[in-house]
Amino acid sequence: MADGIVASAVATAIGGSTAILLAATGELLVEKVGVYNIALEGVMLVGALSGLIADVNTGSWVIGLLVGGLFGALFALCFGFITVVLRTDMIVVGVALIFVALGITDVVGSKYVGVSVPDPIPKLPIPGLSSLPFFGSAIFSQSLITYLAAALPFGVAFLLSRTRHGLNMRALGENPHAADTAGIPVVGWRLFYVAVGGAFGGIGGAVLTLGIIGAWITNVTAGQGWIAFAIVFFSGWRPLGVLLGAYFFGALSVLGTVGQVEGWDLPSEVFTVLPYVGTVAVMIIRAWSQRRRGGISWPAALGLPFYRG
Amino acid sequence: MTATDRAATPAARTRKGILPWRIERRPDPDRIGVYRLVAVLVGLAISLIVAPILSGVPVGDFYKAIWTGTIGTALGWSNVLTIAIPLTLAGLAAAIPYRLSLWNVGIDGQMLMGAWAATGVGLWLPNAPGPLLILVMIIAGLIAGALWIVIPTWARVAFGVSEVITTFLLNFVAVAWLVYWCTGPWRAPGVAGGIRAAQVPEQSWLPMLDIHGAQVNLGIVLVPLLPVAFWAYSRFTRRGYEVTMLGANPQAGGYAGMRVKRHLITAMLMGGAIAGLAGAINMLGTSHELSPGLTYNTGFNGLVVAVLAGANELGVLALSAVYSLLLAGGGSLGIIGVSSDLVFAIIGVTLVFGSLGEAYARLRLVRTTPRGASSPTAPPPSITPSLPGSTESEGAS
Repeated sequence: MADGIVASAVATAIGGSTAILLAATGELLVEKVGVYNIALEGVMLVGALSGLIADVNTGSWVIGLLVGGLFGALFALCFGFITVVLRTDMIVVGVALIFVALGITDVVGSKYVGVSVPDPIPKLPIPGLSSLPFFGSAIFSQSLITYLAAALPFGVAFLLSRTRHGLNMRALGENPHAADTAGIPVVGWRLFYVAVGGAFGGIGGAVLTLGIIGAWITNVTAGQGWIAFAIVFFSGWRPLGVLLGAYFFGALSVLGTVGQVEGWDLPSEVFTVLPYVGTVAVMIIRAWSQRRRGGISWPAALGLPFYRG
Repeated sequence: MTATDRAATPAARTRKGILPWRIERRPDPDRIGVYRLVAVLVGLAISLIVAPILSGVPVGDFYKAIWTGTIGTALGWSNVLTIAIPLTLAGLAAAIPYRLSLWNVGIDGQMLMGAWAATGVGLWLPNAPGPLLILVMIIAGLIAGALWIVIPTWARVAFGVSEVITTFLLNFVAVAWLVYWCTGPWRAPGVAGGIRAAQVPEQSWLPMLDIHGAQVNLGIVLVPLLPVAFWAYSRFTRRGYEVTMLGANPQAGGYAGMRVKRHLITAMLMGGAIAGLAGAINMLGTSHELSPGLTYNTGFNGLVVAVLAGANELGVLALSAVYSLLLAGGGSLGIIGVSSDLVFAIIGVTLVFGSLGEAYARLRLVRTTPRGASSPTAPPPSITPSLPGSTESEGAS
């Protein structure tokens, strides 16, 4: 009995962290080249609504995800143009664009509140693996996008540490002047990866409306973009840390369900705040342990505007 | 660090980009605040033209709703003034840390905690005399707001953890905390619908003033008072001067023997306390009851005001007036069936325009020398290998 509950909680935790995992992996790419897109929450909102509208009108979740990714990338490019090309403050512009996204998605999305998604993202049990005992069905009965999202950090890790281009990317974030001297177009590649990160964030948002929640609600992301942003910080800018962080968040957010079933005598609000408190706590612990080791792991030029000479 | 220190020199203009222009810093940026303000007003004008089209209502109705919701009627004026109270305080709560480049993105949470503490005092001492009760409630609000920012402040000062994320995430914790108290111990008896606590004792409600027909609570006196007081403090006292110095150049302040960390901590706690005050005043002056939706993004609006004012206290006062008009107008759009959250998009657009105006003041567009020929005045002094075009096009493909 209890095993069944734990297994379904594991399934929910893995599936439920897909949006954050995608957004955080995209944000990691953005930060590796020296930009932090603090408007990630807004990017996810835009992706969530545009993906839902596309699904409602075309009846295809694939098109929904693609449209969500496209609009996420376009919205992130607005951020990229204003901060990377015009060298303005990333926090100010990020907060501003979150406002814009919140307002516009609320106005446009009011027509779609309560509309059911015609083609939600289907579950795709992997034959064989999903019938394994214990957590087999929990881990291997997810949607396709959840498997892809779990594989993505490995791909990003390979890109960053095993390829020539990944080395160039890290140079952009660590020392853009050296990269510029070596002939790497700093602004161009930064813009490109802001768009890539935005596409992942937008797809993540669309996963929320088309899969995890299955509907449009005003401010559907409810801080998930911020948590994804925080996960990149406490991952120590390592792709596999992002993967762990996202699943950690997923585990925290299903603990409430487990607690209710198991009859823990705690108010439900305790479980509501766990992901947020947990994120803050892990950020502090990580910074504390890094301070003790004396190493700073973020890209040295993160958030600094680039001027060529 | 070097990125910001390196001056723009014509000698470095040796390579051709994809575009025939490139952006470089003006050597002597001037009147940045003026450009920012003008850009904000342009953004506001554009938003107000585009907004009725986007929301799909008759244009006339749109502007009429805004007019009656703001300066067109006494009720509108009441709304504007009532919104200005928490907004101005929230603007200060953001501006005081922002002067030291610290971000208080958790004002909404601090406001809620301030209102929570004030409510707690009110429900605990239901028979205390009014003025005394109000005083104790406000002090409780100040303390609770400051306490709510202690952990982000400590994490920032001790370990360098970004306060942007920690202050923001604590907003969600504050909301959950209020939901717990409003649905549990302090639940309003016999009231159906909505999450809210029992009303605070009637003698603690802030008295209403009548200003030419507009009704507004006593908290309005803080609107001019606090910004001017903080402005005078930073303008005329030694500690205020130190903060101004630190804001302009943190390293120089450290070398000059200022206790930098102490200033950072004070600014953060002060921001939290003022936010707590804003929450307590807002609860005592308007709804008289605690609810998780009490702030309605006032904290974020305060942050916008502080940024656009360049953290100047008098600028906060002036811009709060402008944004109170906007928010009151936006709130009245509900009558014609437009979501009042539209106003957040408008506020965001004005902030983006503010950044664009600042960029316009700081940057200039320079036509690059054709075909990557080196500048005629001076050859590049460094060993920089300038490989015109080829490497860049390779990288961009």
